Amino acid sequence: MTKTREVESSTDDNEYAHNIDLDDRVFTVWVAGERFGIPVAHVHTVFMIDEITSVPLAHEAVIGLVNLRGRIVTAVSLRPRLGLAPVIMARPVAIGIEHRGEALALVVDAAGDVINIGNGSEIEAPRHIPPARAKLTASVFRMKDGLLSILNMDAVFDIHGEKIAA
Amino acid sequence: MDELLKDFLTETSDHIEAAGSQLVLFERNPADARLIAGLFRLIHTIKGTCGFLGLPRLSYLSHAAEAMITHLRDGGTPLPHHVNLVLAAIDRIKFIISELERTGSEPAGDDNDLIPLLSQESAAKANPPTGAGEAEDGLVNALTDGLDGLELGAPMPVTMVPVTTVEAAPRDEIRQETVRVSVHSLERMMTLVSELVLTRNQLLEIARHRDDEVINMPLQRLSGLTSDLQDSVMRARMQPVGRLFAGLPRLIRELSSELGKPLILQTYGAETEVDRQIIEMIRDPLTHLIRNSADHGIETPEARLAAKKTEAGTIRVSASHEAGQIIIEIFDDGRGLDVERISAKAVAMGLASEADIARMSSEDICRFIFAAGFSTARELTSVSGRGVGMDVVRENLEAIGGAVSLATTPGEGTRFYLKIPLTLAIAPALIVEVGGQRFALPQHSVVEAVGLQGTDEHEIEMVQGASLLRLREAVIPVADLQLLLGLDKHQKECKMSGLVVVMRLRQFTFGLRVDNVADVQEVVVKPLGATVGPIPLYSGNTILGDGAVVLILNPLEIAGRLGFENSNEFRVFAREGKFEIPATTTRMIVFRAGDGPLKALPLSVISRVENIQTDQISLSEGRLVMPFQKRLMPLVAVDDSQDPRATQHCPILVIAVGGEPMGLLITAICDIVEIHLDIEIGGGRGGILGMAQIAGEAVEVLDAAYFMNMARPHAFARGQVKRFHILLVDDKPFFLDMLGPVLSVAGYQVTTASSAAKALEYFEHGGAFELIVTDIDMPEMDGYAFAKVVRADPRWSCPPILALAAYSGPTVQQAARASGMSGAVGKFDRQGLLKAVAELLDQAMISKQTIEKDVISGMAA
Repeated sequence: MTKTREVESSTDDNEYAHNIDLDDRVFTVWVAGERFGIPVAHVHTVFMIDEITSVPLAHEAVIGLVNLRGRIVTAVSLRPRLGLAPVIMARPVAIGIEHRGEALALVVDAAGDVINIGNGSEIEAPRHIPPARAKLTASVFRMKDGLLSILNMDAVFDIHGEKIAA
Repeated sequence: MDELLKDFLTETSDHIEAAGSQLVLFERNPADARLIAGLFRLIHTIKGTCGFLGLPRLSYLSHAAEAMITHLRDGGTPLPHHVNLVLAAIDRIKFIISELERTGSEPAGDDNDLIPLLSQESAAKANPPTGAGEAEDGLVNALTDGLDGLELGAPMPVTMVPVTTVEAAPRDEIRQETVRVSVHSLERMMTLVSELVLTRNQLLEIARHRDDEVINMPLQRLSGLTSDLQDSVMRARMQPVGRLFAGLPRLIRELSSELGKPLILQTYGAETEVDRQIIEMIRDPLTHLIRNSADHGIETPEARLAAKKTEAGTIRVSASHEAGQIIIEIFDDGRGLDVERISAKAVAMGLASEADIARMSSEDICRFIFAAGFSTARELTSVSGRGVGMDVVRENLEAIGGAVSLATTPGEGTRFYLKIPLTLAIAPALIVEVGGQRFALPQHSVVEAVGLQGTDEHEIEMVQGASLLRLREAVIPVADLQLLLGLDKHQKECKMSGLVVVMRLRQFTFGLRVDNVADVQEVVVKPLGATVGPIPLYSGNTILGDGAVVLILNPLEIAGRLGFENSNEFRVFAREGKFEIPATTTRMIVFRAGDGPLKALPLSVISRVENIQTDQISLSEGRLVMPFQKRLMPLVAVDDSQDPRATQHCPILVIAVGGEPMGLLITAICDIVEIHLDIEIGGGRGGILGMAQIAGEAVEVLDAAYFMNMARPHAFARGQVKRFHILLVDDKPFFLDMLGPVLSVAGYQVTTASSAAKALEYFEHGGAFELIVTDIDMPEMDGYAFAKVVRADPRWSCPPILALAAYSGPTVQQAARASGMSGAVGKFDRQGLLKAVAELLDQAMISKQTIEKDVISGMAA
């Protein structure tokens, strides 16, 4: 069993490595004082969640369902994905993302701006980031104002593939 | 994928479905050149387009098939062997196309198993009269010879015919103008409409608090239009079941040769429309039932001839709409089900005891064939013994809220009825509340809801950690929704408060405890997003009228959690009734009056029950009277033959008619029950509304109005509580008898007329009605014309008119309004009828009052 798991996760990593978006612009978000980048091609809208229907029995990262202008959107919190404790907010900030034909909302602490990573330089991802986080990281850039991890959206929303493997 | 290729694929996969059937029809009827010509054009188009698009494998194959078809078209006798070859080629084309759709390129491999056979046969069998045929054959041979040498994308050595110039779909019927719309755009429209509905609801909510006429009028209109729009978009997603029937001729052909039985297929109602999603879901059950009919139902030709039947067995498949559902009937004129063998098997399998069987009707016994693992065939044949049984058919249908039932006559045949909802996209659902959160529960599995507090005597009992509910004679397992969902981490066992929603699924009855039932709503079912994950307890999600998102619960899984999943237990239940909202129950007093069945009256009409001394009763002018509260009270015996003075004491039911009491003489009071009153059989005799089932017994429900009228005609006519007078017009006695009592039980006075002419006659003689309910479809004068006549005649006070239609779709509604009617309801929709009647009468009364108000205020000013 253990062996299969390892094999699976390593193939996953390879697959993700090929999927990096080559667009230079990223949308930045903040979680626990740290900045992350999302390739702009993925981002549709930024909104505040007023009302959310929780989904009992769902993965802890799935915080609920939201009615976004008549469409049901699954809200996923980035905090648990990064191995952080969830924080309950009155009106959480969400990034509306279209991922593999599904409407999703990525809940973050705060939304940032669109920046161009072409101005920075890509560095090798530190080898000692925890494995869970390493999986979510597509690449790391050195920018003028600090380092920026670009999120791998496939990995961020691949909640269940992980669950099966774990 | 290339746009051109995409168009080609959708176009082709549509037509290839029908191709096999066309060929089979041609085989049976070689004189009909149109059938083969259609197939020829289809294959020819595929061939041409393939060359153009660079699909070599498909083009060789279609070319070889075309040669064969050319041969058949030009007068070659369709030998079964040839037809098989072409069918195989069609299958291969289908396969290649589906691979193309999936991957965008042709699958690896070749068709050398088929092509030489196809071309050999067409070459060998070709009667050489037509030059064209020869040329084609020559080409095929050339092709086959040089097959290996050809490269991918090599230009085809045939004339290319562009797809646009060839009519690929020859149809007998006149072609309607159509546009191909992607399912995606339809879904988008559906989403927009749902959004519109939400906005409309918000507006209505705002308007309700304002009470502003200026806004209300257009808002009402907007509201109606929105509903119609929603309906139209729903309809746009519908497809004729003909799509499902298209594959049947071929299936029958296969079965016929496999089983060595000549079979005739008849299909009816191919134009009946149903949601496209449903079509896919009933394909397998339908196929299985047909296989079953052909295999087990239809006898061997020898046996048929011996039984003086035609040699060929008939299998008839018909589809029709009925009360918002689609009914598919599969009939075979075979030997019928063997009730004795089914009984024996049921006993052997331990499904029922000999004693049980003895008490069961043969119809109920036949239902055992839907039990898991039940098969009456002594030896499994390759046709129907393929690991799927009737139980799977039943399960598949029930999973989508449908049902299957059957009727059989020994020696004459068997009929299976499939009842299927029109759509899965919109379903009525119970909105339940637990732990402060709302969930939707599909109504198709809900039987009733019982309270756990207050006057209700229902209580959850714990047995070895399992919670059970005692419900009348049955004990049913109960799951606590709050516990299932893990909403409260500290909760360990089932709560004892709230409500239990009783559900029946397959053969299982079970309960689900919730805190509250908030509402019943039609919900637009949407699948759960993939990211939410596979949580079997939910079957989807939806947006409610107030904009909130709720999860839709999956009754199958709930049953599974209660341990029903792997159970092989099967009990035969009476056919299920339709679920009614729990609030509509009526308290009935059940009593005995003379001989005959028990009688019942709604408790609300009885003001008190007295036990009187019979010597108080005296007879005056043929009427029984007695002193009551210092006055004389008339008495009426429910049963005329009953002589009240035969006993010393006698119970009476006192009914107050317009403030004056009357007594109803009965023999004994049996019980007071709270039931949902559903009169199943209309009564013919005066004073009896009809028969209803109360606690499993057939009970006569009495018409209180009849007795009141008898005892106190004047008080009754004066009627302090006004009884509205409804004229019910329908040419079919069945509906008069069915709907008349429904209306009278609801407290209306009903006069029936069996035609529009009869109804007009009532008016001519000064009949006054507060409301007319009329059938639309009547001979001589239909409902629309009748409404126009009533509206046009100034002598009549113009009561509101309600149309009765088999189905009250938007077109019917529109036509009804155009003829001056106030609306339309479905004939089988009793609740809808009562609701519409009450609303119309309310409106009529209110508008009268408004007139009075206006007059008064005008005078004051």
